[in-house]
Amino acid sequence: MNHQEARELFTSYHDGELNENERTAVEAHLSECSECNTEWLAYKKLMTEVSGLMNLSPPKDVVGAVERKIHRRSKGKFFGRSRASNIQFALVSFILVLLFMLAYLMLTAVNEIVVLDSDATAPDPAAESSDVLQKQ
Amino acid sequence: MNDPGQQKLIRKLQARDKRAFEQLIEEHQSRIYNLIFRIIGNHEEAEDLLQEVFITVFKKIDSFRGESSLSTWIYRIATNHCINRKKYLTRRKHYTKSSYGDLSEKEQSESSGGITENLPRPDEMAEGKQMEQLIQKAISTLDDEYRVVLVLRDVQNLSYEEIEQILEVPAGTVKSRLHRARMALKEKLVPHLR
Repeated sequence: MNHQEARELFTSYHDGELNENERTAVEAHLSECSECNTEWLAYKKLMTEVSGLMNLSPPKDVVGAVERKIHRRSKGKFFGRSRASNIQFALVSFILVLLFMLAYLMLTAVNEIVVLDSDATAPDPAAESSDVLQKQ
Repeated sequence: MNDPGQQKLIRKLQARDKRAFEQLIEEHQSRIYNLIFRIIGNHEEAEDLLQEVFITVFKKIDSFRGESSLSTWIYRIATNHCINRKKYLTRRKHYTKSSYGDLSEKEQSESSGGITENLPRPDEMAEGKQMEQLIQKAISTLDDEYRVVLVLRDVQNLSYEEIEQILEVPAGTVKSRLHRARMALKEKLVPHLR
């Protein structure tokens, strides 16, 4: 095996893709050829460095950004408010209107009771005028 | 592709199920972002491309026939997007500099909030960061076909078979491209490897 042949097999040798005979031949060449052995050590170091490249974190809120883009490009067809949230919204609105109406009716009823009470406790103007006439 | 869990996920995706789509993004975003960044070498472009990859998945999921795994199919979409974007940027001469400074900032912010055990000394860290930047720069100068194979195999640790499926090329082509990519990278970095 010459230098060129040995170096051509570096990738397969590194990745365990050689058969028994090829691997033995490469190893025999590397043990007797310092030039190719130096190349092989540099190759191995490169592979260690490349496989050790930092694993970068993805940007924040990829899901949100993608959904917003799809919503915009589909002109609101996808990723708008869901049917479930529409029903929820309608239900909450209905309950709020109902509460408001109840509160209004209760306030009206209370006002009417107050008016009735004040009418009942107020002195009779006709009786008052007859009392005045009698005194005179 | 006989995984029942994956078949169920695909059916949900084809029905445009929001939760299934969100699950898909959560599961794949990290690996796909790293793949894109190592091919493109720029964080802003990588972020934009990452979104475009998932938008394409959403649009084209009906055409997924299950001949490969879902992740292989997503990898194929991502590599095609990267190659097209790189060509576009080169054509527009917009691609004047890669964000190696950007890379340092990102690494810095990550290391500041990360694990502090077994942290290398400042001089070692500086050396490691410098080497990382040198490698990234060298990868960026490789031809597209070599760079993509190298990133898929040596950064993403994919098998030869997976790479064949992603790139739709024969095994021999993957092996020869990978060998040329590694040797070219070694030549570029030779003063730093001895």
